[in-house]
Amino acid sequence: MSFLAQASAKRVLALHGWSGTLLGLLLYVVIITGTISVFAAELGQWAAGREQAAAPLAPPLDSRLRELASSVDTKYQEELFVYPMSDGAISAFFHAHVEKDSGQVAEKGVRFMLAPDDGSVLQRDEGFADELPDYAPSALAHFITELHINLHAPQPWGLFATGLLGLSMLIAVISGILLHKHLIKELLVNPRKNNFLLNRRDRHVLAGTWSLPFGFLLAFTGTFYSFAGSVTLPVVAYVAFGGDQEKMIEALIASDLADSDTPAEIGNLDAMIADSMARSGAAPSYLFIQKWGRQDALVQIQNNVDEEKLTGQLHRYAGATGEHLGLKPLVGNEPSIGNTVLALVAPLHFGNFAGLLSKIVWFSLGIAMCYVTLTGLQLWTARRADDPTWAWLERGVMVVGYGTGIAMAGAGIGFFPGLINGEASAYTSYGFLGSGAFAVLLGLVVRDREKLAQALRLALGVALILLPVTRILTGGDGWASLFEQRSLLIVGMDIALLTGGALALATMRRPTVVAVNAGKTASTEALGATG
Amino acid sequence: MGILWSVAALGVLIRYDRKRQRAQKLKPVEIPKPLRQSLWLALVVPAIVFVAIGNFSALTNWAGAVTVIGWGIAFYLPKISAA
Repeated sequence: MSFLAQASAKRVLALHGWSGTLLGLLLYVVIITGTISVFAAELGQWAAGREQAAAPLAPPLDSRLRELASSVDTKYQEELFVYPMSDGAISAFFHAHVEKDSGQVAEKGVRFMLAPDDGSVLQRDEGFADELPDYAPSALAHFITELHINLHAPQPWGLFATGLLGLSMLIAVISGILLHKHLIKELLVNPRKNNFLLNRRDRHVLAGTWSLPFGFLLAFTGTFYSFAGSVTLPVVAYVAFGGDQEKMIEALIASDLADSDTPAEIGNLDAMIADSMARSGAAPSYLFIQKWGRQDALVQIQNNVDEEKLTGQLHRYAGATGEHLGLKPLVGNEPSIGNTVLALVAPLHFGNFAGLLSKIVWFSLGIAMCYVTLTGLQLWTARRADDPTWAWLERGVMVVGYGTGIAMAGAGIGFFPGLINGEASAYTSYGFLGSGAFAVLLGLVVRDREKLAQALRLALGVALILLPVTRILTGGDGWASLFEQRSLLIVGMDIALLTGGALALATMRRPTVVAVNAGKTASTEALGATG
Repeated sequence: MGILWSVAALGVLIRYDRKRQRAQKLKPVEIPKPLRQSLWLALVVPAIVFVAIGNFSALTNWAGAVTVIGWGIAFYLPKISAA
């Protein structure tokens, strides 16, 4: 089925190519870090050397939270947000909404990090939420997910950037759909072997066609996340609430209980948690308590996804009495289509709706997206190999393609010594920048492209193998001890990294770019005709 | 089970696709058109079942898994056939 006339197809092909090329390298960084972030929770557990309990927020929490509340200034008891960290520690943030010197309203209060076994306080910090220090065991996972979310650029510019990258991916996906004349047939295309360049084109088309629906889904939901906070909410606040974001958020998530500032003890939180688990059949993923110590206190408990649905359940309880008030939509107090769509965005973007299986599937989809992005860039540069202005991009694709992996592994190698001396966040950044700079240096120094590819694969393989070695050398448990503790996740992650490293080394001498030049002249015309 | 079912149907469709056989210079083995159409239908049967029983989590997982495995088969089958 042909969607476009030939002239239109040429324009759409140009749009497809340019949208991917201009931002392709950054887009690749966002996609690969997002792919790794699918396993952010597991990465956090591996880095901390401690597996999370199946239900880290299960009772008993009540007495511990009461003790903490009594030690916190009442001005910070406006809201309490409790959620588990990836290593099983529990974060409890008592806070109020306070205006910063800049005029921006932000959450300010006291955050406790509680040990998963006995609830003792591991860390206590006070201040604005976005200025609180990192929790050291989560620093590695946090670094990689932040790179995916905002490229570590200041707010809101980082979100603008990733939002624009998401849009460029959407453009590439939609133009890809319009370009392909025979979508079903191209699902079965056989990569041609008689010409290296056509083989690459076929591989790009094959991976791209298979991943079109999920490419669209991931780009759309990712763009939504980037623009929701940085553009959409401020615009809605401006249009409907005279620019008052605080008022808008209150309208979206506020309690519908009658206001009453009469002091009242909070009800039994353990009973509310147990009730929500019984009703939903799933463990809680966070607790949100508004107006602690007042008659109109509201407790909201988000429970994980049950087996047959994509979304979890948000249970509401009257804080003072513990009475179950029913399920609450994500926004507003009544179910709506918009709310249903909004609730689907998270599971469809994160792939965390069906345990490890859906995470493996989403990780693999991410790898497919990376492959499509890189092969698309390779095709673009190969078609213009005679033009010296594009030669830099050809090397850039190679350096960024392998270099991002090398830099992420370097972040992990830096993280472990940092964890020992209390500078986990800083050392993670140094590891990332140092190893990333090494990859760039290789790109500048090694002139022969084939040798450059080999050097980058060697560096990637070594860096991946060094990750579990560094973990154990810096005091992490060895495999015998982990088997004894039944910490199979950590052993599994070690094995995955060692396998990845071994694969990179085993394929080190596989030819990559030499054949492109041999075949380019004969195939340029064909590529121009087929896209 | 749904994933295995669809992947099996997909494997047969990819293996006996005429254009792929030609490209791989394999001895052409035709499968009748009604069988080919039935295989395409069989491929999506799990999706229909998941929708019918309202298990959207399994549906999404199935779609993602078939996408990835389908790409893998189409990508690697020439190498396997050639080996």
